[in-house]
Parts: sequence; structure tokens; C-alpha cells
Amino acid sequence: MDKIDEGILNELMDNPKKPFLTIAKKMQIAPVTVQARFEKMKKEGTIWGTTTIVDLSKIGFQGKAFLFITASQHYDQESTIKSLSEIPNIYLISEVIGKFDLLIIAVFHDITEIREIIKKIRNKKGIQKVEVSLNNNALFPLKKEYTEIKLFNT
Amino acid sequence: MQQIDEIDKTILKALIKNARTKLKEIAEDCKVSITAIKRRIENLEKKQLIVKSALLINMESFGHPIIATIGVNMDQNQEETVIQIIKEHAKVGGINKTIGNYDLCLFVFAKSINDLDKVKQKIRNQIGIKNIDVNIWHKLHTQYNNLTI
Repeated sequence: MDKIDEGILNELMDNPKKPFLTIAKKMQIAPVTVQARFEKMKKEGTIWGTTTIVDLSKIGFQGKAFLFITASQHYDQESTIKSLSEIPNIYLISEVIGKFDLLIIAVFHDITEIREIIKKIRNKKGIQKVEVSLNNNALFPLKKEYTEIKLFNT
Repeated sequence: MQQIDEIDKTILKALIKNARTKLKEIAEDCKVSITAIKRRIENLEKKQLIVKSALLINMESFGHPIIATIGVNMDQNQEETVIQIIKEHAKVGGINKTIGNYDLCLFVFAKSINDLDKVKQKIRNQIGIKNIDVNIWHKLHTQYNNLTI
């Protein structure tokens, strides 16, 4: 990564929707360079892309559930995760190392819905135990803190 | 609570997938004009349904290859101290005050396991900390398309 990449990233962190033309003018480089560097950084895996944070509480979601899963002896990485990902409103499944085996994050409308989600998880093959933490924030798919991470010390 | 229609849903899903989605693409999908899409996005912003856009960064490329979830149980007055310690030692992707098995669920990016362990020890040594669990991510699966909006 060079100064140009760094400059483009700074502009995009400031506003991920900033037109490449605006960035190009500001950095005094060609717009195609901005486009090419953006694609290059995506391809190399420096960045994954962009997303929009939406506040689902505005359309009836009450919050998020963090579900800490202990796997059973029937756990099969591929099939268990696939069947878990079919449950509506589960949007993140992470295989973890530590006290638990999986971390699942889901959004929910109300307590009845989250109980349903937990019940469905418990019934899947390979799941032994589900521990739950609930949060009343329905920002999706990320929280604002994430956008405030500083990448460069300058 | 606000109601949104199918077009709004299509817009939201497209922008969640990619904040830079061309309005023209969404307009064609919904069979309405680009102006209509633009107006609807402005409206979704005004309603604060759309909060902001984010660049998805691979923190590994920036010296923070360890992603972890930290769950803490503590006396309530210690919450801010714990958040402060974590902010000083790692990049924080999410701070969640919760009820249930933890009082606080934090998502952090750390430089190394060693660094993460230091943070853990430091929190553990605070007065009023009852329990701290650290789980390190090793494989992530995300999907945004089975959301029931």
C-alpha cells in the first residue's frame, strides 16, 4: 500500500459514497486511477467493499441478540452452519475459539420472535447449549463505533 | 413505527449490500425513475432509517489480525472503566450493553493474542469485575438476505 492507496482510503472512510471523480480531483490524480486502486484493494482483500448502516428500530425491530453456542458431539462444521444460516434474521455466524464454539448474531422484533429463533437453534443437529445476551440497539449490519476506527496514525 | 413498501425494501437491501450501488441499477430493478429512487433515499435518511455508510475494512491488512468477542460481567459502575481500557488497547468495532449471560459484549480488533491477553488481565484486575470471557473468531459467515424487513 502506498500514499495513493492511503489517500483514497482516507477519503472513503470520511465518506464511503464519495464519487471517484471528487476523490481524483482532490488528490490530483486521474479518476481511472481511483477506480483501479479501489478495485485492486478489494481484490487484494485490504477492503471488502461498502455497506449502509440502517436503524431497524425505525421499522419495528427491538434489538439484537448475541447467542453463544456450545456444540455437541454431532456438530458438523459445514452442515450445522448451513442449517443455522437458514434461520430468518440470523445475519452473522462466527466460528470462535474460547469458551464457546459459535457466536451468532440475530435481530428481532420482539421477545416471542427471539424465543422462536433460540428454539430453532436448539433443535439443530450439533447444538448442545445456547447462552443469550440481548441488546436494545437495532443498528444493522454494523455499529457506528466501527466507522470511527482510525486506520492511520496521521 | 414506520411502514416501508417493497421499493424502499429493495433500496435498503441494495445499499446494505453495497453503499455505492448505482441509483440507475436500483431504478431499473424497481421499474421507477432515478429521481424517484433519489427522493426515496433522501426520505429514508430523513426518517433516520438510513444512518450512514461504512467502508468494510480488513483489519488484518492494518496490523490487527485478531478479532474477538469479549463478554464481561461486572458491577454496573464499572462499565465505563472497562470500555475505556478496551479503547486504549484495541480497536473497538462494537460496544453493546446487554442483559442475559453478559452485561457487556464487546467486539474488538487486536494486534496479537498477546495484546488481547493483556487487555483481559487488565480488565480482570479492576475492582468489581466478576467474569470475563474472550472468544477469538476464526471463521466468519455473514449474510444479509434473510432479514425479515
